[in-house]
Amino acid sequence: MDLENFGWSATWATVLTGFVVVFLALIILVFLFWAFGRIMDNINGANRPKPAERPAEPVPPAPPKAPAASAPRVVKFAADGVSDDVIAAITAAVSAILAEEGDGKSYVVRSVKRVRSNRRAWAKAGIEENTRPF
Amino acid sequence: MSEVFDIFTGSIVDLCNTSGFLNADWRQIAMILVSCVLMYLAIVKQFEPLLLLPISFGMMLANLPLAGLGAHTEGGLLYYLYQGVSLGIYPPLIFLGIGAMTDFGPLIANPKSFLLGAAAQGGIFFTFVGAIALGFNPQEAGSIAIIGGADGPTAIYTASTLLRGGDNASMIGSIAVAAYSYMALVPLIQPPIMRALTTKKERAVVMDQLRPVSRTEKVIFPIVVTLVVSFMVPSAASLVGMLMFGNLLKESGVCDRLVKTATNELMNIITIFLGVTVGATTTYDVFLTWATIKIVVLGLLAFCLGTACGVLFGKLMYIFSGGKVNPLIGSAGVSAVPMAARVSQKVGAETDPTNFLLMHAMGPNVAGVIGSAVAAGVLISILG
Repeated sequence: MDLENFGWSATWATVLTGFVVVFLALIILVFLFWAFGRIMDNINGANRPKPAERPAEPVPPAPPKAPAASAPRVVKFAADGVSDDVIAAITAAVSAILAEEGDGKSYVVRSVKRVRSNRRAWAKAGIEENTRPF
Repeated sequence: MSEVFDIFTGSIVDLCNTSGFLNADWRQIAMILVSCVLMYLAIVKQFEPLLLLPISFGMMLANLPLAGLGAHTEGGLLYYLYQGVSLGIYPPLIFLGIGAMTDFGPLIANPKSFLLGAAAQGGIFFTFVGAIALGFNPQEAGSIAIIGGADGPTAIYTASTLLRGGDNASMIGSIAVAAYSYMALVPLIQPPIMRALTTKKERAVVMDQLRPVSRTEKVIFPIVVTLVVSFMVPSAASLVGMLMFGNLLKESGVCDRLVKTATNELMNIITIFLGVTVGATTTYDVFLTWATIKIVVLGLLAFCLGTACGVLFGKLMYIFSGGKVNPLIGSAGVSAVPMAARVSQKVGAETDPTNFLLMHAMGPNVAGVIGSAVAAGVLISILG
């Protein structure tokens, strides 16, 4: 290219060349790593033991008849449909707040609502852990 | 006794005549004030302090009257250190350290991010047209346009290669100062453009979680990128090659000592040399000119256009993916790692505080580093 007489045609040709080469180089990399990712997924999938391929475990001997006291735990529900476990968790949270606030204040719990979030608490904690370095 | 007094007064007069006070040009004083402002921004505002502080102090040293410390003044300390810039040695070594610090996992997990890294280079090529229109010659225009890559070492490497040996080699300092200043101002420049080009619905898109990337993929990535890019654009090989070499040292997991050296001692030494000597190129006679003002304006234009191109390509991917891609991650394609990705995260969180775009934006962000190195290689091969 004649750099001494660099006209508008040469300018636009440079722009076009730049765009085409940059996109071409990166599109090749997109395909390479997309294909490589698929191959790796397949390899990992093939190595992963499938449930059907697991060696059959010996059948355990029939358990003795369980006494009434060790019967599977039945989740108890209060009259309004809230389980005892949930009530225990709410009670613990309320008492923790009361302990922080100190004595002398009285509270009445009128309703309990679940806070909706796009992610579960553990997922959020995981993301925060992974993104902290950035 | 009178002879002693005469010699004494003569010495004092000579000292006064050769002191900076009597020999200072007002433009040198102006440049020293500019360097003080940059030092303030680096120390108090913490705008890219690791580079802005050496650059600003180098600027001050270069403008000391009669000290002869300019990077182009033969014989001075900074002249010899500057050979690392003019011969294109420091920027690839900085890339070695950056490669050893960068996790390309988000890019490998979502290779389509490469496209956003390519689109954001639009700022470089459109600004090239603007620079030609303002009367710069092709080499100068290419050196100025590369500011849009938002990548300091790439900008310095391209400018030093294209302007080497020419009368305009002193322009490198203005280009470096503009590049690093705008990189520091990414959190101010990008958000208004991102908000203007996207709807609230687009900004609220929650992207699917990235797949885990195996170590094998991370090890193969730098080798494949080096081969593909270097075969296509050999003039980009020194930048991309060193970036990927640093990354291979990191991902191989068997070169811990080398990784520590590349990311700490070597990186810090080169950063000091690069910053001080680039600052020392900004002597008053070459910096206080209309050309510098044009470079500053064109650099800002390049940044804005690069951001806009990235976001607009992100919108295109939003449409073609059926609304699965948040266009905000497109702006991160302008390199400026990791600042631009943080900006994508911040602007996305304004719409939905529970939306984590950071890892998704890191893909285009590191792709932008590769994209700007390829763009630099194209400019060098055409205009060099």
